[in-house]
Amino acid sequence: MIERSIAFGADGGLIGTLCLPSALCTDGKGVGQILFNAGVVHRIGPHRLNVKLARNLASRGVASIRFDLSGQGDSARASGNLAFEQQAVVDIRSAMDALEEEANVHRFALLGYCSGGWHSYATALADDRLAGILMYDSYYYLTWRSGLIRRLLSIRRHGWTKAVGGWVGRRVMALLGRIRPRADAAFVERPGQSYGLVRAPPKMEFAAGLRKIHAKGTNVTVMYSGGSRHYTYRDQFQDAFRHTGVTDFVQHDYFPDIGHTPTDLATLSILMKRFEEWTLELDAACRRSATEPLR
Amino acid sequence: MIPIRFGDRQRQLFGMYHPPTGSANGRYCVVLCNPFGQEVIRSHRLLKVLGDRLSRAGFPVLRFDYFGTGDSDGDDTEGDLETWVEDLLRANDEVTRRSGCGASAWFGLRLGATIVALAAAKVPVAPRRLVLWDPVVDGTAYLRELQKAHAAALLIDSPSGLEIGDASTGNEQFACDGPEALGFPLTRTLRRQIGDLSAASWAACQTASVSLIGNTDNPELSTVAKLLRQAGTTVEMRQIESRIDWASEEAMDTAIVPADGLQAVMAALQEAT
Repeated sequence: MIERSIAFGADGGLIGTLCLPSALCTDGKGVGQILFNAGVVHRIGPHRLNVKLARNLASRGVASIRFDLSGQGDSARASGNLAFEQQAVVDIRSAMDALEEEANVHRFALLGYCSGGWHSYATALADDRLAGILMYDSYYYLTWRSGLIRRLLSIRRHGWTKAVGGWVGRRVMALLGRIRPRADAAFVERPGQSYGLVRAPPKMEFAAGLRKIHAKGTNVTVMYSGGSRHYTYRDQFQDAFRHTGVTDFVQHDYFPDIGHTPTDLATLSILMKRFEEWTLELDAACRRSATEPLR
Repeated sequence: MIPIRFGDRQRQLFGMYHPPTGSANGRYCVVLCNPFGQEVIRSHRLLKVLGDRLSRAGFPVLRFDYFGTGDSDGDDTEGDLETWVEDLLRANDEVTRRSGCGASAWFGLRLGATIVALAAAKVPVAPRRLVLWDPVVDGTAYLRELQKAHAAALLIDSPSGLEIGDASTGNEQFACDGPEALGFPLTRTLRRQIGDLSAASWAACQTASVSLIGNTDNPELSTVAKLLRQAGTTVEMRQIESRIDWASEEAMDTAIVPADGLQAVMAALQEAT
């Protein structure tokens, strides 16, 4: 395994570390792994997950780059001409360019952890080189069942009085217009507040985006931990997107016993192993199907 | 900023070199030393901002990851306190070589401050100045603090909100032999080395002057100051108002750059020129 830390991007302001297999595969048929920030955590990932994952993948022949988006970690701020979300897409595409040049890979696996999932989705819409995106604990779409389970868990944790009182209070506030009602039951946890909510794309818009990504030949996988109050049972994604035409191709997984950011090493290892398997499956599929690299 | 990898070929360390961009200070360069484990993630932004500001003030600066941490070579279990002391000496060689400065100053945060003190006992040419923010003095107390934070994080991280323990008790309730803390392993060797840390560990620290930075209610700062003064070192205390929970799992939500602490470090380094 060879690691090299580089500055790249239009102004050389992006900082990343390439992790290359010692016997570099040059047939151009496999995938390269792109890893970047999870929330405000710099490129090494939560509990150094990205570093360990990159090295494990390198030992299995998969090259990777782990890097900081503009203005995060060690990377410089962008010029400011683009909105943060647009800039993130530009940055990820620059990382793909850098890895393509260094490792002779032409298709990529993009792991989006938490808010990284939003950027993965947006990049997959904009770039045809992605073999797959994995969105971990990114957009949540609620169902009546997820809401019911959430309330039952709240009662179990806080007791009837506090749980029901809190729910009634929030409803009253909503009715009084003090907080905005939820539209389309589509929410995402905001990186920066434990349980703050920002709006995800409306469900049908998201489904249309997923169909577009799938049509490009990009694998879409969503994974959810048990650490969210908003994803509460295994088939929530399928139930939320029933009749939208995406459940046939979106792979989904749920880890009820794993928190959003596993604190204990044993659980962290399980999650990392799952990420690793996802990339290796993608790599194998690419090698089977690709007769010539996409450009 | 220039990303670099330095040190032995088989155990490369990652570093970010900030060349001076302001009017060249020319008198010394600065090495910034990370704390341990989750505290590294929590304080990454702070050290980056500090590096940028020092660079603009004319100092060549090197931030780096110890072996087995961050972006450097090595597994999580391969690093220990003695290795990290050697890594600091390597980083010092690297930044003095790159910058051409004959002298250096070292900044350390938390366990990084302790590593600075331990390395200052071994370095051939004593650093001009040490700037130490919330140093870990009592190693056993630190291990207990980590275990308490670990228990609290497990509670927050518990899927479905099920309670799995009580992290509200005092530090003394927590054992200091936990094999991991906040997502990072604490090997037997590392636990022993940290557990052995005490005020006596600072006795051999050699430097002309030390700035100690911390909150007013940190009694360990006074202990260290007294010890260093007895050894003939000039010690200044810079007290800040910010109270920082360094050992927190909430890095996904917060990055800390306390303004008063940052100003205190800048002042301590600039006034020494």
